[in-house]
Amino acid sequence: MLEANQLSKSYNGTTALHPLNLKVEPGEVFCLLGANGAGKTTTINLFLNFIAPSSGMAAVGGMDVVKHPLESKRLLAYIPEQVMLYRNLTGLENLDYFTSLAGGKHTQNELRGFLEEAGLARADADKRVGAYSKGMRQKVGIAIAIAKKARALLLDEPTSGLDPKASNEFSQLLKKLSGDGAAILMATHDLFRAKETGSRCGIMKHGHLVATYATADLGHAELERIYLEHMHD
Amino acid sequence: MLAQIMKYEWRNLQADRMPFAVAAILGLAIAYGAANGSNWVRFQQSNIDAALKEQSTRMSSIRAEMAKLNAGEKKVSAFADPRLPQSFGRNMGLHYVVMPPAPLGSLAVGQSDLQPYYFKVSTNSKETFVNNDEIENPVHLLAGRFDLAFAVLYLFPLVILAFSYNIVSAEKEAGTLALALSQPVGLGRLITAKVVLRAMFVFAVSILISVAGVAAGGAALSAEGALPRLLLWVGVTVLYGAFWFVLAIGMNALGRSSATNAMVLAGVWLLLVVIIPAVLNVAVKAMYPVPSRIELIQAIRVAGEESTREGSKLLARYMEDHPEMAPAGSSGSAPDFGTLLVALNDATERKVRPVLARFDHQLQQQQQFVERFRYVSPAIVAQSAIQDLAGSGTHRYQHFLAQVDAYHRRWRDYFVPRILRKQQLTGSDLDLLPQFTYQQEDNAAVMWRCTQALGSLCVPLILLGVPAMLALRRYRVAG
Amino acid sequence: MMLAYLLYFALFVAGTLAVSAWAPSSRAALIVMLGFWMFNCLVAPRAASDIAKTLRPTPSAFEFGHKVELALQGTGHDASEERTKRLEAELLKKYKVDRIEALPINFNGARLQDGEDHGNQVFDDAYAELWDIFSQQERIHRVASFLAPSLALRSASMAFAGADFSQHVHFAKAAEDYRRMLQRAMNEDLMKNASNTGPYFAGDDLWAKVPPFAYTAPDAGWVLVRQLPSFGVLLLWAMGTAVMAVLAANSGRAD
Repeated sequence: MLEANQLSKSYNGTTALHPLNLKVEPGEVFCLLGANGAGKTTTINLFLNFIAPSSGMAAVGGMDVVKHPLESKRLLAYIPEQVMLYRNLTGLENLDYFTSLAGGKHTQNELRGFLEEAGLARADADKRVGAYSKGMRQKVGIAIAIAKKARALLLDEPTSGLDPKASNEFSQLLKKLSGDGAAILMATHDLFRAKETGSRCGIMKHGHLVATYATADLGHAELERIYLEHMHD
Repeated sequence: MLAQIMKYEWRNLQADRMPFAVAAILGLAIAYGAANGSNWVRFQQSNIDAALKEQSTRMSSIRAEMAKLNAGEKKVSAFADPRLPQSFGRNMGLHYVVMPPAPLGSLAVGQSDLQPYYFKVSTNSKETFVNNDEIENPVHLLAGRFDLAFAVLYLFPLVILAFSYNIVSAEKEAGTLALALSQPVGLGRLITAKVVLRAMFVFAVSILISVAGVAAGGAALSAEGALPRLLLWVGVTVLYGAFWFVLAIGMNALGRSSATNAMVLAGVWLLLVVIIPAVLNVAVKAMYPVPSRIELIQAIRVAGEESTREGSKLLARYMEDHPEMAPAGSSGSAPDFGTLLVALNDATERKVRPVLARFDHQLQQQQQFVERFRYVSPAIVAQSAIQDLAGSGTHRYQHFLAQVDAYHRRWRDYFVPRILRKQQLTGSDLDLLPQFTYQQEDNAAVMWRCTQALGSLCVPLILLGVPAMLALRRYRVAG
Repeated sequence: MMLAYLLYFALFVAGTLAVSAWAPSSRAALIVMLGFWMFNCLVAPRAASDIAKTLRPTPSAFEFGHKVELALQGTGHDASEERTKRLEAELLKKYKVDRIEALPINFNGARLQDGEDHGNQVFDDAYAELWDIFSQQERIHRVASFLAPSLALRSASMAFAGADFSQHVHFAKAAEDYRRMLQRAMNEDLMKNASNTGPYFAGDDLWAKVPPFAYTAPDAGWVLVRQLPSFGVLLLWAMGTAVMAVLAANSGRAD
C-alpha cells in the first residue's frame, strides 16, 4: 500500500534522505525509529507530497504521489505530532470540514459515530477545539481517518507528549485500524509503543534506513539494545 | 465542496473580529464619502441655479431699462446703456455657460473642485473670464476630498489586504494547512474558496453601500447612460479589488510569515497608492512645466499695451481714462470705442496666442505622459476611470471647454457685427441671443475609454496572477 | 522646523514602543500603528477639512462675487449716483462755488478717489469676512490636531517654509496697500493738476515720485509666535506617547 522506491531528498546539497526502499502492506504497522533529523519526517512528508523527491518515487496504492497528488491522498490519512485543528470550531465541525475536503458526505450522526469510534467522549464533540487536550485532538485526527476510510496512515510521532493512558488508547486504535486492513507508517521515539503496535520497525540514521526488524522476533529489552547500538557510532 | 469550505471559512473569519472591524470602518468611510460627494454635487447645482436666476433677473431688469431708455424716461452713460451691443455683450448682458454635475457626479469629486463649472461669457478674450475658480481655503484643497473615490482607491485595498495578507501563511503557522492538504484537495482550490468568500464579502459591502449612498444622495440613476456607467464603476472597483487580492495571494505563495506578508503588502500599498501617483505628479510637472499664470497674465498685459500703442491715439486716451469719466449721454462717440475695442481685442489675442499655445501644448504633453505611465499603478488607472465615469475628470472638462469656446465664438459673432454697425439692441433681440445648452458627452466614448481601463486593470492581474499560480505549485507545506 | 519634525518622529517612535508593549500580539500592534498612520496622514486632513467647512462654510465663488458686485454698485444711500451727488454738493460747499467747472480741484479726480474709497471699503469688508472664515477654519484644524498630530506638523512645516495662508495674507495686504498708495497718488495728482475743462496729461516725474514696491517677509519670530500652538500640540503628543511608552515598559511582562 505504501511504497518507497529509491526515494531520496536533498536540500541544497545536504542529503536528508538517502535512497530508501520500503514497503508497507495492508494490515502492517511499520515503525520508523531514529534520532531527530534522521529522515523520518522527511519520509512522511514525501509520501504526503508536501515536498518533492530529489529522486525515486513514493507511491500510495501503487500511485506515484507526485503524478497523482489528489488521488493518492484519497487513500491517505495523516496524523502529525500535533493535530492542529481550527480552534474556534468544535471537534464535530472540524471533522465535518476535513472530511468534506476529502469529498465525503456524512450526516451529523455518522460524524458523531466516527468521533466515538475514535474514542472521543460524546459530550466533547460539541466543545470548541481550543479547549481540547492533545490526546483529544489526536482522536479527531483518527476520526478523520476513519471517516474517509483511509487505506494508509502516516503518523509522525503521534504519541509523544501523551500520558500513558492516552498513549495506550491510541495504540489500541491503531491496532484496530490495521486490523481493518490499513497500512500504517509511524515515525516514533517510543520504543515501547513500537514494540507493542508495530509489526515491523526500521531504524534510521543520518537519512539511511540502517536496519529493519520484525517486532515479533524481539523483546523490549532487545529492541532497546539494538537501537542504542545503532545510535552509537 | 467549495461551498463547504466557504461555510467553515466564514465561521473561522467570524471568530477573528479584526477584519470585520476594518470592513465596518470601510463601510462608514464609503457612506461618508458618498454623502460628501452628493453634497458637493448639490453645492454645484445650487450655484448654477443661483447664477441662472441672477441672469434671468438681470435680463428682466435690462428689458425694463431698455423700455425706459427708449421711451426717453431716463438717460445713462454709454457704458451703462444696455442697448449698445458693446455694453451688453461686454458686461451688462453676459450669459452663463454651465456644466451641470454629471448623473454620477457624487462618485468622485475629482478635479471638479479645481475646475470652474460655469463661466460668464463676454465679447472679451477668453482669458478674462476663465479664472473664476471656486473660493476655498487652500489648506482644504491641499488635503483633497474625502469622497467615495478616496474610500475606494485608498481604504478599500487596505481592507482587502487586512482580509487576505495571511490567507495561507496563517494556516501554515497554525498547522491546519498540513492537515487540510493531507486531504485530496489542492492548495489552489483551497485558496480559491477562501478568496472568493472574502471577495464576496468585501465587494458586497463596498458596492452595496456605495450604490445605496449615491442613490440616497440623489444621483440621477435614471438619466441616460447612468446605469451602464454605474455597472462600469462596479467593474472597475471589482477589478481593482481583484488586483489586491491577487497581490496578497502572490505574497502568500512566497511562503513567508504572516508578519512579513503584512509589512511587504502595506509597503506595496504605500508605493502604488500614495508614492507612485505623487512621484508621477511631480515628474510630469518637472518634465513639462506649464508657464506660470503670472507669465500668462504678463503676456496678455504686454500684448494689450502693444496693441494699444499701435491703435489710434484716441484709443490710447480712452484706455487710460477711467470708463466712469465718459460724459453721460454722449453715445455719439461711444460706438467708436466699441469698434476700437473689438480691434484691440483681436490684436491682443493674436499676440497672446503663442503663449496660450505653449500653455496648451505643455498641458497636453502632461496629459499624454500621465496616460502613458498610468499603468505603473492600478490606482492611477482606476482613479482616472472613476473620475471619467463620475464626469469629474479631464475628458468631460475638455468637452465642456470646447463647448465654451464654441459658445464664445457664437456670442462674439452675434455682437461684433452689431458693434461695428453701431446697431442698437431691442427687446426682441434679447429673445434671439445665442443660448448655451450643455451637450452631454458621447456616452459610447466614455464607455469605450472605461472599457479600455478595465482591460488595462486586467494586465497587472495577469502579470501577477500567473507567477502567483506558478509559485503556489511550488508552495512548500513542510520542510 | 527641525524641532517640529523631531517631535513628530519622536511621538511615532514612542507611540510604536507603547503600542507594541501593550498589544496582545505583534499583528495587533502592526494593525494599530498602521491604522493610526492611515488616520493621521490620510483620513484626518480630509476629515478635518470637512468638519471645518461644515462648521464654518466657505462661501461659494458665485455668492461671494455677487455680494461684492452688489456692494460695489451700492444701493440707496450708497448707490453710485447718490454718492456722486453727495460728493458734488460737499465739494461745492467746501470751496464755496456753484458749479463743478469753478472748483479749484479736478472733480473727476475727487470722484475717482471717492469711488476708490468706496471700493476699498467693500473689498475690505468682504475679504475681512472671508479671511475670518478661513482663520476660524484654521482654528478648527488646530483643535483637530490634538487627535491627528500630522495637522500640527503640516501647519508648522508650511509656516516655516513661508508658504502658509497667513503669510500669503501678509503679502497680499502689503501689495494692496501699495496699490492704494499708488492709486491715491495718481488721483491726487489728477485733482491738483487737471482742470475741469481741458485735457490732462501726467508726466514721467509723477511716476518717478512713486516708490517701488518693497516687501519684507515676516521674520522667524513672527512665524514662531503664530506656530506656538502647533509646537504645543506636537510636544503634548511626544510627551504623552513617551509617558505611555515608559508605563508600558514598566508594566511589561516577559512572557
